[in-house]
Amino acid sequence: MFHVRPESGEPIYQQLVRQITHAITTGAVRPGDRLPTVRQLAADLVINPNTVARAYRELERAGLVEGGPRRGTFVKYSPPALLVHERRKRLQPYIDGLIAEARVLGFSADELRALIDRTLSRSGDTGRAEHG
Amino acid sequence: MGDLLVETVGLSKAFGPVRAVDDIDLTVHAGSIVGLVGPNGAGKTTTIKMLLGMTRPSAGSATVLGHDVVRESVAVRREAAFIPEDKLLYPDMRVSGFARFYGSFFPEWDEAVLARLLEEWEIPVDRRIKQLSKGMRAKLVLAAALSRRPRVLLMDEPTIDLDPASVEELLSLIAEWTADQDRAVLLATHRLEEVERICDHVTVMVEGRQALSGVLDELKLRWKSLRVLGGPAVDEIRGWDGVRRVSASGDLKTVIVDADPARIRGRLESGGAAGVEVHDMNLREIYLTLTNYERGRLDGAVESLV
Repeated sequence: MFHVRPESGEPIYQQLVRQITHAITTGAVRPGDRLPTVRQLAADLVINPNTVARAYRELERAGLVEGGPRRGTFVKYSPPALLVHERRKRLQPYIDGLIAEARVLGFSADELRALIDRTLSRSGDTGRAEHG
Repeated sequence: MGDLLVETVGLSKAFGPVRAVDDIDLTVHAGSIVGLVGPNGAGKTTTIKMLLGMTRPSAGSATVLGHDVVRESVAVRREAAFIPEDKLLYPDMRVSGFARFYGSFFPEWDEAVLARLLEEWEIPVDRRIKQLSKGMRAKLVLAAALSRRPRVLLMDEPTIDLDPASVEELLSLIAEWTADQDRAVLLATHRLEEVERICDHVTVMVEGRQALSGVLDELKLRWKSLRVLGGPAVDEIRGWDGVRRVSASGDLKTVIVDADPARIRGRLESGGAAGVEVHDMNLREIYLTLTNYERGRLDGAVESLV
């Protein structure tokens, strides 16, 4: 399910945290789902067990998983479906600011929409924060 | 962190005027896979030989599982397992016969562990060793070593002349074995991509000396290559703490740092630098920076280096 690029300059534990976070926040794995054991994931991905354990600790600290080496690691967080309103509220000021700036620069509404669409499709990813 | 299983303090070995190993402080904790990397002739194999009591240190000391490697080398060799580069096997023996023969040398040898590993790793016990593929032979050697229930596994270029699929399998078995947290591996190799996969700690040796040591993921957070336009003069940047190397091409400078990258970035920007880009560095890039630097230092040619 996960894969890492050890030859990348990004620490392996960070790659894992990023991928598992993505899987959790997109609902690919659900609350209560059990993540592979440290041993299993280390063997499958051919990476160091301590590196896997560190990624799990980071996810636990972030409140995304719970458990421990003995019981196993379980997904805790669920996508904040009920918080849609809250999330919109936080994004709105940026949208207002963008529209205001676009007006000042003389873009029409259609031009702005086209520009956003093009930017979204170029980045190829709409859900994730940039890393590194 | 787990128990300290291997420790060297100022470990050194001189062959005449040549300092093959020069003042190495190495620690290997339980649960860890430590990669010992460096160019050929950097002193990796000599270090391993000293740990096994096969070569006497000319200075410093080392313990493996609490045993002094000089005074208690017999105990070291009994309790730690070693997989050398040139694996000595007996081509005409069958796998089953080899297992019995090998086990007869070691009191802690556990036949049940070996039987389980041979089965799990699908090593055909009736086959003669010369009929096994190289990958299969490497697995057999590892299985035999692990059936002694060692807490420390020392390996010197274990994957040399294995095909990529066999390398993958062997590394996976080593990673899985280490997950039990009461044991550790010291892996000497010049294959950086293997170290980058399964090692959590790395020590880089250059010309016998310890050029770098640390947790690999931490090193990757600190080692960055900053591209920068303008800003402070090259000579000034070279004097900064945490800056490993500075090179310039016209107005464009490349600053390699082993520090909190944000701190150096801030300093560059407050010195008037524009458009600072921060790039990750992988182990190969870090290694090349170090080996070039060390070579330059030894040649006295430190012109563009810190």
